[in-house]
Formats: sequence, C-alpha cells, structure tokens
Amino acid sequence: MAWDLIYWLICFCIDLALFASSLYQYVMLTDLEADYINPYELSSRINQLVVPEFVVHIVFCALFLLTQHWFMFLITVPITCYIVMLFVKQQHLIDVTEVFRVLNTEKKCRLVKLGFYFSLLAIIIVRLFISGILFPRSGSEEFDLRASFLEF
Amino acid sequence: MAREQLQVLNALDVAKTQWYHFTAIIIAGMGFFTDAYDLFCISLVTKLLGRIYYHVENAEKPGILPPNVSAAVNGVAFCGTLAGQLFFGWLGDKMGRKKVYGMTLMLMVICSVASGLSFGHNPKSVMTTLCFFRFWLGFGIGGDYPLSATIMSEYANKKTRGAFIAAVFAMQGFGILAGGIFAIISSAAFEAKFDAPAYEVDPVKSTVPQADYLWRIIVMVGAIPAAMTYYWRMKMPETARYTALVAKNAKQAASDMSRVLQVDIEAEPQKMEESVSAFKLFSKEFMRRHGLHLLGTTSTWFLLDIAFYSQNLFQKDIFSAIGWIPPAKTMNAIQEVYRIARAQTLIALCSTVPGYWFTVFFIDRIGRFAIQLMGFFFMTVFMFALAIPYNHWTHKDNRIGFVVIYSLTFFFANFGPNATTFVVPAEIFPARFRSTCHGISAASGKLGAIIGAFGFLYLAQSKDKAKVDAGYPTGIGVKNSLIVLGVINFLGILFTFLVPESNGKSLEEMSGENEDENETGAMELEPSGLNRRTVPVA
Repeated sequence: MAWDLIYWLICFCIDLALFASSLYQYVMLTDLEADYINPYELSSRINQLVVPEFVVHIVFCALFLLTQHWFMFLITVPITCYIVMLFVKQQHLIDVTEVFRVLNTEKKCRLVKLGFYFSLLAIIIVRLFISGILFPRSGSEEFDLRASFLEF
Repeated sequence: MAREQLQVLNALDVAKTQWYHFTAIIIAGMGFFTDAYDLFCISLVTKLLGRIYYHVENAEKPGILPPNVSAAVNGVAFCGTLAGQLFFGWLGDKMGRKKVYGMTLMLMVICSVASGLSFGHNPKSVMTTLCFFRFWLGFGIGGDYPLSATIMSEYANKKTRGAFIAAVFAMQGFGILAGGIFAIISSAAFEAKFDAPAYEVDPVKSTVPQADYLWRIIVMVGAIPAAMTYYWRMKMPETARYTALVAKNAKQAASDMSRVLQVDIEAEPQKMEESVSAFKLFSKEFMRRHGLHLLGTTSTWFLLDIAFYSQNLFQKDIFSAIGWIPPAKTMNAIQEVYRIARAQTLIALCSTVPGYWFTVFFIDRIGRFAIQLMGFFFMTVFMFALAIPYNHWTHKDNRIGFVVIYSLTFFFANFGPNATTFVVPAEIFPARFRSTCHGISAASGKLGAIIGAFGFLYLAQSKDKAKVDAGYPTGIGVKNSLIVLGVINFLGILFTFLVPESNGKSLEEMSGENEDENETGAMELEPSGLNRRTVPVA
C-alpha cells in the first residue's frame, strides 16, 4: 500500500502547521514592537497557541521515534528538550507585564524555530519525493497489504 | 500640477507589514486555493471517468473519454473562467470589490458541490451535467482572479506589494498540492477497501462500482476550505482606494482603514473636491497612457498560458511515454487514479510550488520585469532542450533527466511569467479600471489556456496512425509540439518589453492618477518628495 507516501504527507502537513504557528507568533511580536496591538492582546493570542504547539511538536517527535526514522527523530529532539525545560520552569507563557523586557529574546526564539521548521520542510519534501519514486512500479504484489506492512 | 496623495492612501503605502496583511493574503488566497484545486482535480479524474462511463466491451485498452467529451470536460471550466474574468472584472469596478467578492466565492462553492453530484442515467447526461456545473464553477473562478489581485494590491504597502500579490497567487500551489494529496489518500483508502484486478486480467471487475464515488468525493471536497473563509470575506471592509478614488467617499475610506490598520487616519474630504481627470476606458487618453501597457499584459499572459496549460494537460501522456505511469491496462481503475495523482503531486511539489515562493521572495528585490524576462528565457531554453533531442529522452534510462528538465520548465514558469503576469496588471492601471483591465488581461490568458489545452490535445497526437488514442486524428507528434511551445515562449520574451516596472512605487504613482488630464508629453512624475505629503494642507 501507499503507507510510506501517506506517512510523509502527514509529516508534511504537521510541519506546515508548526511553521505557520511560529510565523504567526513572530508577526504578532513585530506588531507589538510597531505598536499595532497592545501587550494584553498579544499575550492572550500567543499563550493560546503555545501549549497546543508544544503538544503537536512532541507528537511529531514521537511519530519519528515510533516509525524508526532515527535521523529525523534526532534532529527534532533538541527542540523537544527545550520545550520540556521551558514547561518545567514555567517560562513558556508570556507575561503581560514582562513582555517588553523579553521581546527580543522571544522574537529570536520564534525566528530560530521558523528556520528549523523550514529546513525540516525541505528534508520532508525530499523524502516524500524519494518515497514516491523508489516505490516499486510494476506488478500487483505491492498492493498486498501484508507485504507492505512488513516493509516497515 | 499633480494632486497630492490622500493621507489614507499614503498610510496604506507606508504601513509596516502587519498580521493584517497576512490575513488578507489568506482570505484572498483561499479563493485561489479552491480555483487551483478545482481546475487541477479534473485532470486527475478524466481517466477514471473514461473507464467508468465509456467502457467498451472486449477492447484491449480501458475506456477513455472520446475527444469531444474530453475537450468539453477539460475546457468548459476555462470558457466559464474567461467569461467570469471579463464580467466580474468590470463589475468589481462598478459595484466595488467587496460586494462582488462574496458572490464569486458562493458561486464556486455551490458549483463544485453540484458538479460532484452530477446525475444521469447514461454517460451522456452525467457528462452534460458535469460540464454545465463546471462552466458556472469556472465563471466564479474567473471572478476571483481580478478581484483578489486588485484587493490585495490595494491593501498592500509599497515595499512588499509584489510579494503579497504573489503570495495570494502562490496559494494556487497549495491548492494543487491539496488536490493531489487528497486524491492520493482517498484513492489509497478506496484501493484498500475494494481490491480489484488489473484491467488486462478482468476488464469488467477492474472498475468497481464504488469508483464512481471516488471522483465525486475528490471534486466536492474542494468546496470546504472556500466555504470556511466566506465569513471573513464578508467581514473585510471595502478597499480604501476604491472607496476614496472611485466611490469618492474619503471619510468612509479613512475610517475603514483606521479600523484594520490600527492607526489614526484623518479624512480629507476637501481634496476630493478638486477636479479629477476622468477619461473613460478605451478612450484616446487611456490608449495614450496605458494602451501599450494593456497590450503588453494581455499578450504576455496569453502566450504564457498557451505553454503553461498545454504542459499541464499532456503531462500524464508524457509520464506514460517515459514509463513513470505504467500502461493503463495493467492497473485497475482506482490504482490508475492513485498513480496519476502521485506523479502529478510530486511534480507539483518539486517544481511548481517552489517557483511561486521564489517569486514571492524575490519580486520586490529584483523587480517584476527581470523575473518575467528570466522566466520566459529559461522556459524557451528548456523547451528547446526537450524538443530537439526528443528521441534521446524517450529511452528508459534517460527518463529521470526528462522529468528533471520538464520540472525545471515549470519551476521557471512560476518563478517567472506565471506570477508576474498576475501581479503587474493589478498595479499599473488607475483604480477605476484596475479590476476591469486585470480581468481583460486574465481573460486573454485564459484564451491562451483554451488554445493550449485543446490545441495540444490534438496537435500532440502521434503522426503514426497506429499509436493515436481512440477517436483522435493524427497530429504532428510530441516533439514538434514542444518546438512550437519553445517558439511561443520566445515570443513572450519579446512582448515583455512592453510592460513597465512597478517595483517600490505606489499605485497612484504607477497609474498617474494624480496627474492632470491636460498634461502633454511624457508621464514622468516630479521628484517624489513633492508627492509624499502626509499632512493635509490647511
């Protein structure tokens, strides 16, 4: 079956969602800098997204671990560790009163995540392409469900 | 003497990039997402339609749509789009962009659902219903082109306008991807549930009855993202440029923009009382100022779309010829949909989608002219590279090279004329014609698409009568068709010189709207410092 291709398609969609979330938070922070929104609105919008984004990233990382894609798992682990550290220290949410002090740090953090998710996107696209091309082409044995499960 | 810029328009021009710009891109882009999804998904399911409705007993190859039906199914949406672009483009200037915008979206949503529900007892009536609804779907899609471009152009700031309009256009790439991804997932699901033998093993059983549901589902799902953005489309205020310059309501424009841009803007009704140069569309004055521009935008879009749509539509045949999709009779109906969807999605992912985003990134840095020229140039080169040694590419070992060069042509089509011919007409005409002229340019593009799609369907048939698909006359062969495409791209290079550069200039500066009608000689503006007053004159 086409499980390999579908798996990479799912990873592509998840990565796109994480990328979009980081982009949204970064643009919100620059809007605050330019005085287009107030700190309360900013922190309520970003704090709504922070925990769901963490959960999605951890699921993403676990997905790679469970399907034995070691390289992908290892490169997503650093951010997972960072997320867990922030959560344990209770620093993951943005405090309305402190926001201007930490603005630059938060922006840099989002920018790094943006760059990371973008390069991950490129890697996933390459693997998507490979799984599409190197799939066996002729004969009908590939569509035997049992055989394709054993491929993993 | 030039009129001074209204403060509200100036505020729009110099506004820093905000989240609001991104929401405008997403709202406008969802229409394009649906448009690309709908136009693309039909090419995935035409083979399936052939197998289901035109099955011939004891034929060696599976049923395919007869030439006239195939042409109708593929092309009727284009005809609708052409009509829609002209009609809604004109209407957008008459009634306002926002009012018409909701209309087009609703039309698209309703018609894509309706085309999936095409009913009928025999193949002819199913095809007729499908074509009927696809015509009106195309009509709605056509409306989206000039309106989305104009709205985005009028909302954007000076520095990144090109990037934003190109980003709206780039949502097409996501629509193509979504169409392919959804087709892959649903055909894989159907295949897992309804196992069927290949056509050559058992012709009748290879097409399960449930295959009929597959194409309907694929067609209908495109309506969902569009329906979701309907609410936000209705919430967007009318563009300030329309309200201020065409509807002549400066106060409303200022209050609308204050709301969305979160800045305080003063209304300046006194500026509106000065007389405005009011030449009509296609008057001598218009021809003097914008005639060559209109010729440039229409001709380049026309030439580009001939090449672009001919490639899209005979892609599957190229893939069969180079072996990436096995012969139709070795697969059952659903497997064929899966294979085609996979091949086209991968090509889209690697060549089409990145091209759009390269344009978004570079268009405001190197300018529209450079990108369009470069795009046409590389398309010409690669088309000739494919066409002239064509026999080399048909050998099995060289097929990867063929795919690579083919993808590069697509990449340079999107990092090139496909995007710039969409961006430029939304920037260079005065506000009261902007939507109409963009609609005219887009309609000429669709005319080229119709010629490319139908023309090459017949033209690319093999010279050898034995190798021609059932029902088609002989053509000049794929190699000669590719040579013709190369020549067309070369003509595109020549016509690009008629198009002005609009990078970094405000819309009013580009269209010369602040100029007096009686000014003779060149349209060159005074030094920009004089035009950029931000404080109203007491």
